[in-house]
Amino acid sequence: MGTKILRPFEILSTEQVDKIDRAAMTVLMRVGVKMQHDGILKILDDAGAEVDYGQKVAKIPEQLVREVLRKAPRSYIAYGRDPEKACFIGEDYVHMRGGGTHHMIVDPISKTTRPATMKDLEDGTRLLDGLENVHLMGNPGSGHWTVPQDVPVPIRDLYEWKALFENSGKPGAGHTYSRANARYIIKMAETIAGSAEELRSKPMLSYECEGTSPLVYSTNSLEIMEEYASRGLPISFNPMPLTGATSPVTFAGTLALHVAEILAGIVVAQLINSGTPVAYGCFACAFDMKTCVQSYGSANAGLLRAAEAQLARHYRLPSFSMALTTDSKICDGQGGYEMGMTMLLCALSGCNSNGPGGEIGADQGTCYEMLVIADEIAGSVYRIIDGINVSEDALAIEIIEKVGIGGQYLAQAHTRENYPKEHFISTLFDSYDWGTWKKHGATDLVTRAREKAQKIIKTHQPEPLHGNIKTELENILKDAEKEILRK
Amino acid sequence: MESERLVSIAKAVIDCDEKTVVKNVQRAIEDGVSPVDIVEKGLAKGALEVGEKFDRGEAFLTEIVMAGEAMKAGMQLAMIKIIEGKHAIPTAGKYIIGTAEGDIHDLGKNIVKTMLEVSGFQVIDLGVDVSPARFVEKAVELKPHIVGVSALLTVSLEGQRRVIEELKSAGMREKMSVMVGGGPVDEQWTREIGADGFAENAVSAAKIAKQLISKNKAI
Repeated sequence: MGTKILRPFEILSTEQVDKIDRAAMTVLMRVGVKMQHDGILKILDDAGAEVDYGQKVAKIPEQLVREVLRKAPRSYIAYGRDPEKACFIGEDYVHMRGGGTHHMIVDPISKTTRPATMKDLEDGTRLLDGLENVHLMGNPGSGHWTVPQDVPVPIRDLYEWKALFENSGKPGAGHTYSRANARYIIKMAETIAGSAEELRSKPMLSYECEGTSPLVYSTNSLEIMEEYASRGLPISFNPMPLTGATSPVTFAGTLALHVAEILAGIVVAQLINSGTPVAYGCFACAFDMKTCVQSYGSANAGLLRAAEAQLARHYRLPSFSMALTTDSKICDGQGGYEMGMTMLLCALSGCNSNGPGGEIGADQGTCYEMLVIADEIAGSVYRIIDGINVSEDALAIEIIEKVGIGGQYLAQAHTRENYPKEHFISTLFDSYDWGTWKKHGATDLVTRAREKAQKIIKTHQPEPLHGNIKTELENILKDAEKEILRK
Repeated sequence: MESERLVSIAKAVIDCDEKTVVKNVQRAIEDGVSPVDIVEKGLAKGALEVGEKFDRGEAFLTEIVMAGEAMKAGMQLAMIKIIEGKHAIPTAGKYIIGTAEGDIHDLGKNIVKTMLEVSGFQVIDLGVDVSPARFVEKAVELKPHIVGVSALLTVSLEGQRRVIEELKSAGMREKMSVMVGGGPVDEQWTREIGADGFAENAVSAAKIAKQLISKNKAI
């Protein structure tokens, strides 16, 4: 699955990319990165980094970074339970990622919120599975469709993964809270894959290692990362520096710091297990100094995304972005503009996994209606980046000759055959004339999106999970409850 | 003369000009202006004005932080005189703040801290990844009006619950209010763990802290 862009857009000049790269290397060598994990500091030390064990800081030489980047995988395939839904991540292939990722469900019509439940998690997962343009599900670090509030806090991540495996065949992701939880999550995936080796060759899991800007990786993040890396499972590095708060206020400075953080993480993952799939997280945040919110949909966010996607391509790394989301609290014009603008910029820039569609209000809520709208936007963006077919048949000189001067093309077989192939045909966005729109109930986008969401949740049947595997997953969850909740 | 001095202190705080704040506070002290007035009618007044501008969307966070720093620099000088003169320390209340165990995110906590400081609170910052035992230890030692526990990660929410439980075990829960905050915190969670208040942002955190203190005074 996925659509490849022919000529990615580049917002930075070659010289600008080189300057950011040089600044990042300087940060890695002169300032270094704090790794709150002695084992990992030792690995870096052995590989030639200058390590201060007291401060837990590793200064990483450029030569080591370049060597690791030469060997790091350029791409990988993300698998779900259904092999047909596998996604190629890398090489300018563009996918939409869906997932609300929040503990709060937003009702954009009544403008109210309510706590998310397990039912929301299961319904939302089936909706994600049923939507055509959602290729990947959930954010590896910030969660799946929702964080259910009616199950115990320390194992909510396990409930997320179980709901994902039970309700979808697509490649997905959820939280991983700790090393202990990671082992249970990986055990669930190994049970479905058949063995640890099968899971390694067809990874159904990924971890989003979120460093804490500026320049810190916490003990917990590094321990979880070790669990995934040692098994060769994919890891994306998504620190989220906030311009002017946890990184320089200037975009170039933020990009340089962010590159340094990401490359430090990638060096560690490759030193733990060379060849582990890794991804560049285009997640630097534009911090709004008026509202104290990290903006996901503003022009500032869009500008950062385009530059980051280009930097990921420069390092020839698969990429994940924070796009197709909005700072707006409801499904309004701002919401549509911000989702479309960020998604289009990321897709044009060749970013591989873009989302999570369904997240709303600058990372503060999950919204069913917005997910359906995001899916439609993604469909239109896939169409745009697929570009223009300039084959002999598409140039249609014969048809132009046949119709001649002053004729029309409506009755041509060429038209009938090619219209649905060439054009994006929306089933959600309205383009009727005024009278017909009124005759059809004068509905607005959010109402149509709600109807579509409800219909899919009611009717869509995901690829079923075999009965014995379902029981095994339940047993793994019970074991986890016993161990983790006892603590 | 005296009011001119106080106005110039407030103005320097509003301008985020730390050097001028220090210079103007020194001059006011030399001129015999009351150190309590320097704090209340000069430094705090200026800081409050920046806070109000921020609340109206007319100032940026960076200005609050810098005005807060300028105010604190002036406070250090004024406090020496307040202690020397054995005056009552002018404060809206004592507030212990920290990020819950298992969480090293501190931006939100730091913004709340700044907002509390510019609102006149004496804030003791315990830093990040603070164990419930440490919160209790400092609460016993410092007897604050309010303990505030921040959490960004869902999994570190448990740290907020445990602070409340351990305050109860130590027999301290009734002696202070507990506020919780952070991305995954909402009203339901606040009720579930028995906290006294939560705020969705730093400005409302300072307002709620003041409400909790006046409520407790009324009791």
